[in-house]
Amino acid sequence: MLNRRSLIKGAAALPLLGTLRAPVLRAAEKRSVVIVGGGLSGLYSALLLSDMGVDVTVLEGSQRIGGRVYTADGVETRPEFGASQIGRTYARLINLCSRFDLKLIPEHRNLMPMSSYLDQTWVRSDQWVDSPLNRMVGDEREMQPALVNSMLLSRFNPLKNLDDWLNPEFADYDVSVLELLQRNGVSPAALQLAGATGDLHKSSALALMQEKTRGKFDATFGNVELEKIDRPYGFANRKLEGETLARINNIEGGCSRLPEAMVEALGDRVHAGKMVGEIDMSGSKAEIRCHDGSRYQADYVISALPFSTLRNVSIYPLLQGPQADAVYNMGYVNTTRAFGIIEDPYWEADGLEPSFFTDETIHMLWALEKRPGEDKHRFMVVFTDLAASRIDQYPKEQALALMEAEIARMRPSTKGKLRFLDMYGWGNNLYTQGCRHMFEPGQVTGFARDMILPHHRLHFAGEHTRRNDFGMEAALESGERSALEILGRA
Amino acid sequence: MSSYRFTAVVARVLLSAVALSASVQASADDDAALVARGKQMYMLCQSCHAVDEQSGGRIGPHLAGIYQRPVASLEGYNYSQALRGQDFAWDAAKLDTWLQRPYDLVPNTSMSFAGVASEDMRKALIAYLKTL
Repeated sequence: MLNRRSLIKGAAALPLLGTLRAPVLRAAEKRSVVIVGGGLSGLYSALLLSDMGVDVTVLEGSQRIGGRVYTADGVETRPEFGASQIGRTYARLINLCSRFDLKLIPEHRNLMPMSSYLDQTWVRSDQWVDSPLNRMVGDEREMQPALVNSMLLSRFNPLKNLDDWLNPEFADYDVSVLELLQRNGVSPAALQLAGATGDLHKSSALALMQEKTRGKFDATFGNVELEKIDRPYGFANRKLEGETLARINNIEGGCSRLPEAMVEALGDRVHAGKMVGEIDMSGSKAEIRCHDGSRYQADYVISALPFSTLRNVSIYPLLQGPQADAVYNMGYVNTTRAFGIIEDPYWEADGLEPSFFTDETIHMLWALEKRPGEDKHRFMVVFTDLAASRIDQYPKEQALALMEAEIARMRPSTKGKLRFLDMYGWGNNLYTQGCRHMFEPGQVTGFARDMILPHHRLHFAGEHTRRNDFGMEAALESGERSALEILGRA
Repeated sequence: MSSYRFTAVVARVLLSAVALSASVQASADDDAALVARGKQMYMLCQSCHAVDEQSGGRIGPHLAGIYQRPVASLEGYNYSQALRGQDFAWDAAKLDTWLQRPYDLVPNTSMSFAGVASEDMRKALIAYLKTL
């Protein structure tokens, strides 16, 4: 039995015997951790800490667990409103699916070829290079309109290693995409198309390059040669020789099955409908106060909230310096998508390709090849950045009606052929307030390194705190890091 | 706090002889604690690396016998060209550099790992890796 005397002896003897602390042996009392946010990162840190015998409680503001993993089970075709793509190097995610017996299947979201509607004129992808509408110069002309922004970023990306984006050596790239492109002498026509396909002003080129570098890592892992892009948005999704996974995979039955399995494993330690308003660490423990008056005490807290919503939580002692800058000023962007079924192949009537990109209100329509066992193709109307913010201004029914009418106006052959099922805009989700974070120009160098450091008893997780990874894997990376930080300090 | 520290210092002086005589046993305990801590930290590695040859199916090579194993030497694992071009064995020093930031030891390696900044944590992890 430990008493004060033997504790003192222990403390005295330790420096002679070795300088390393041994928390495993000292952990007689059970440490407690409250995790704020029940998305993938919060659930993963809870699961890892729980595996290590730590007493965890997850508080999720919404009634739905899973955050930006959200399979629309009630909608015909069961679309993913949120995350869906699992790369073949998403090791944590692949391992986690294996733990819960969830099967990974190749993603059947192959995009059909894409025409463009620019300056109120149609052009097929195979006629684009020589089209009079294509006013770009030199080898820029080879780029399909919808890919101009993305391909130019790849072209000027100097990053090699996954953590290079945090290296001050590359601070010069922490500028707007516009500045990067102008610096590299991109033509005015390419700039205009880049602006129509992505944000030019509010996104840090360096932060976007981190994603490009991670994408390339996934494509080339295992000494695979990078192929020429052969689809409007990337590569054909096939299995590589000798591999069990395709390039891009989904969870059979929908991605929401993963957070559901994690919740089942955590049991009554996960509480939905608990919106946190305050995290007070001025006492000897952290106190977490919810909007409904309930209070929780814990040794440590993990915020797995996006900063877009953490900024609505009062934190004491107050956040300071770069960390405060990050929480209160980090950029967030929107994505909105509508989902539906193609009742009849309208492209047979007008000779254009099934998918299309426009410089009008409708950003893109993606025609998706039917999945095995389906008799009809599906479609998604995709709005990103500014285009998403524009469509998000309308109530759902009005937005859907506008989309249908606009698509029919531009492309009459679609009239009566597109059956809209539902739409989802992440900018209108109270619990995320945006579809994802986006470092603004200067913000990577301003706070990306230091913003994840623990603040008193508060640790930070969430995709936006990633170091090397991307997407759902980045959420898990951050959950793992925050869990380890807590194990390390306890 | 200060009286506790004073008591501890006095106790340390009084107990030093006892502690020294017990150092062999204590050092073994210490090693065990270090390994146990390293095993906890293996959470960082587990998604990519199995600890034995049987439970495969991970994207990285298994780590059974990793300590003193020559670099990129497992038959049947598709190492990056960068790692294949190296010539060393995984001793404590190499593991320590690698775990801090893999790219510093082997630029362009295909291991995605954000690194462990804490030297104590790396020591614990290496102590555990030695047991595999």
